[in-house]
Amino acid sequence: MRLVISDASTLILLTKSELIIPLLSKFKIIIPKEVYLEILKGKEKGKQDAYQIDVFVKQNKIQIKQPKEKTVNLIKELCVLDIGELYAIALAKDLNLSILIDDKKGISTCNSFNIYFLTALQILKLLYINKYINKTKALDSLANLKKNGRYKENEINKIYTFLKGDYYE
Amino acid sequence: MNKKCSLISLRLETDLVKKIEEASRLEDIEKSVIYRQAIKKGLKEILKELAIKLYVEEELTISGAANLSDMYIGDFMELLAKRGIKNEIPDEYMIMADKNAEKLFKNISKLSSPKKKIKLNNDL
Repeated sequence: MRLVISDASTLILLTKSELIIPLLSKFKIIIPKEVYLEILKGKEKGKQDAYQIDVFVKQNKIQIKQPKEKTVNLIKELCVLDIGELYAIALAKDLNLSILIDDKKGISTCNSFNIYFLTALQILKLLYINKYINKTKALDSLANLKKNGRYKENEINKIYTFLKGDYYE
Repeated sequence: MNKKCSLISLRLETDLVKKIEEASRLEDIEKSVIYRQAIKKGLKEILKELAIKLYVEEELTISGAANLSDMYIGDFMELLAKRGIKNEIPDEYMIMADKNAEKLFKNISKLSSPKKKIKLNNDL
């Protein structure tokens, strides 16, 4: 099973766009406790996506692991980040794994620390290319990501054009 | 359980005080309760707007902005979407993310077997 780190926003986006299940069939997602607590806040407010993520945590499909405080402090010294992204990025650095992240500041920090980053859009595209989801599902998920992910039009259009192409029919 | 309270004094516009008195009379509840409710509701809105502003100005991440406004991140993202606030990830980063994604899905062996053994736990 492949491993990947995630922050809360991308985890929520993947869940809302129904990409989380195909992703978890191939990847184990690791999150720090701080990200989990952000998800639990949604559960307290009765959010369906938060409940679903918590089920995956209980099933061990999403696992919790803490970064070294030394790594957290190193990133904190150089970049101003909030707690969820800070701990998720520190964990990716510690474990030398890619991170799923959609926050611009977070992405910029990943770039500074040479950490591989992906957004939910890349996950959609790669799940489709690797035939983990079909075209109909990919288009549905894209419509959801367009609404909730707030990506720029050109990024959505690129994927849309790609999905509409015949090559991967 | 009663929350710890602090005593403050402040000047308010007379019109506002009259409105509070009217609401207190109509609702048949103490004026102080109306004042507290008004401050709580107003503060929630103020924090929400401040969080959006600081997120747009890149002073806060999405997680920080959601925390400031005391909202769930998913709800905060929906709020940003409703306001038409885009996620302005620079094109160069999206190109890098595309390349990273290809590597992530391609190099299965590397990613399945990290250099160090990872101890996982769910102690929460």
